[in-house]
Amino acid sequence: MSKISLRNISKKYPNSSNYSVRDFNLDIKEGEFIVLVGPSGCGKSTTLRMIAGLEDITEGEFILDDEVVNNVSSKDRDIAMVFQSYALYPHMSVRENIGYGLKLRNYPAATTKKQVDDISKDLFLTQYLERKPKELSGGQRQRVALGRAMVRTPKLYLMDEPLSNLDAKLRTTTRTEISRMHRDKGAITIYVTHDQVEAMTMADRIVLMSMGEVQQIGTPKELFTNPKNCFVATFMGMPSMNLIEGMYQAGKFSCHSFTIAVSESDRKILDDAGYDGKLIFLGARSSAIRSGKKHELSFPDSCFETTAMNVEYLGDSVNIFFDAEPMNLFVGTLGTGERQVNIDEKVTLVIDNTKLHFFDSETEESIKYNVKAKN
Amino acid sequence: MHKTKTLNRNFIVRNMGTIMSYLFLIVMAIVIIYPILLTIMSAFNVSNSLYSTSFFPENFSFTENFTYLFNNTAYLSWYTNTFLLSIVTMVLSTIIVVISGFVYSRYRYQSRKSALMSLLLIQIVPSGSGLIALYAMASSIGIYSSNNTTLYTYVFMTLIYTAGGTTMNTLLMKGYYDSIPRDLDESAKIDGATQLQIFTEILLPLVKPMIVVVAIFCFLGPIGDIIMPKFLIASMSSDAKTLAVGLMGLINDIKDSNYNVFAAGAVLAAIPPVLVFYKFQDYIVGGLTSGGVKG
Repeated sequence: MSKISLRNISKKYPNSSNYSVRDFNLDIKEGEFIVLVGPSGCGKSTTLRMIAGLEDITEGEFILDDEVVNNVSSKDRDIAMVFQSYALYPHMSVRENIGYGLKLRNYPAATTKKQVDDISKDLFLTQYLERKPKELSGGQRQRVALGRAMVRTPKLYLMDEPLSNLDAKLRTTTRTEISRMHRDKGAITIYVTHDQVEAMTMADRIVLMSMGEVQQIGTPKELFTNPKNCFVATFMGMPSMNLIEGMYQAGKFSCHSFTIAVSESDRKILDDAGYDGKLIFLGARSSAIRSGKKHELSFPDSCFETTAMNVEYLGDSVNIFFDAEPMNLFVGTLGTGERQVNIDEKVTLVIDNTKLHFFDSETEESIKYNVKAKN
Repeated sequence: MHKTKTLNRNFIVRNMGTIMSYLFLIVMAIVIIYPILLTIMSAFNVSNSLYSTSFFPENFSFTENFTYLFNNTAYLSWYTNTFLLSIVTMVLSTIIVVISGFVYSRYRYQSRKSALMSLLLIQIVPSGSGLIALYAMASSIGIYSSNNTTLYTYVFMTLIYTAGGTTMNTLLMKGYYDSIPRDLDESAKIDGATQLQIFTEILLPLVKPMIVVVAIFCFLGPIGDIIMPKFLIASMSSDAKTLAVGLMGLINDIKDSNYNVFAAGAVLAAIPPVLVFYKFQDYIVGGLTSGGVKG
């Protein structure tokens, strides 16, 4: 069992004036599954490659088991990595591919064979062991890549978007596979993805990055229910959180399209923080937007009328897009029990004001974050 | 009003593209194959004058030209000289190219760009323009005044051909290495491979097609070249000549030239390259057309 610390890690490429990763701090406990997530170009892959030893660390310390390993080469860091492109050796059979790491570490041939056989049984690859990678399908190649990492028991597993070349169905099953293997092996896993669903479903803790900087670190639930700023709020969750700028005054939030009352507890927080009479961002997840008499009665102060612009049918729910002046598009997700809405139809919506988020209009920081984090 | 597009009924008009392509291919095939056939035919024809040579042998003989070649000229010696020269050149330049291509493709260092650029610039100067200088060099390091002139000349030529074979082929090789994703190197690195193991166990097997192509190019270079050996071995005995120079000698003299023997010699000389091409044709086509190594 091992643990990892990343202290003030920064990366600057030689011919670039900007930092690709700036001041990255993270302590990883034994056996944790960490997901680095963020839009493309946010520095998550660069961070992973620094951990792997494939990129030099410009500033900061990478500590593996109480030892600074900045200048230790990849092969001596005792890690295994799954690449986005799988990076299987095209001239080797599946057996050789999986066993290559063991062979290089001078395992006896019999041990290698047994371990390769075991892992390929787990991954349903037994019948393909003598094939070359090009004779395999995408999903099988992906499993070979996983097998190659899993056949050893390193201190650290690194995965760089391993599922992004798979189709949606295969992605879901492989996700489960990876989670299961992580639980079996119990080694730290650092997983990079741009897909927030993968991050939410697999992670013990998520590190959300943007523009080379960490935005928030926390459990999936923390990131979803208590986002630190607008970026985190809109990145996590599908469809993304609705944000609209408006004026907060005397317990009421008003923007171009509607005026609603905020809940008592929120009012106290906002007033205490001195936002009375100021511009703020209101954040509401689509699941907090409802329709129907029952909800209108529950939240009589937060109803408003609008016109449906577009309707997306999702089977057990429906996404409805509303025009919220001046330029925002609002999404509400209505369950099957709620009323049918047609395009261009006028509808009365209810915002569940116990589930609202508020952000400072200048810093875009969450106003409720500190209060919630304390509780 | 409906406008229906009708198929053009005229077969020729409809297939104009295909017909033109085939016509072009047929003409090209004739242009290439006719001289080869002519050479082969004359090799079996016994006659002394170019003007009387017809396409079909008049005095057909399987062996006469070849017997003449082996009995009256130093053909066997030319043959061994040439192919020894070729093989040594091939081995040396291939080793250099395989390594330098790897370095240019995988390492980033200060002078990399300028080194690559100079490789390209060297190509601009025609190799023939350096001949006098080469002769002067050979003579100034004392090759012609040594006891074993022939051996030293061949060593000298090997070095020149090797150097000549590395420039363009290094660029070719670098391009092929570039087509192999760096993910493979990195993956091997994490699996625990050293730089040398990455080179020998991962990359070398993958660049094999291009190694074959480069080796063949380097092998063929010295066989076809006539200008440089003519300069460097002009004054030497008949035994010391290369194939190209020796055969050239057979038809050099307008009064005493023997085209049919020349043709016989050419046919024999063509056999090794043809065999090499035949054996490695898949590599040659594959190596030149695709960088397609997918991970």
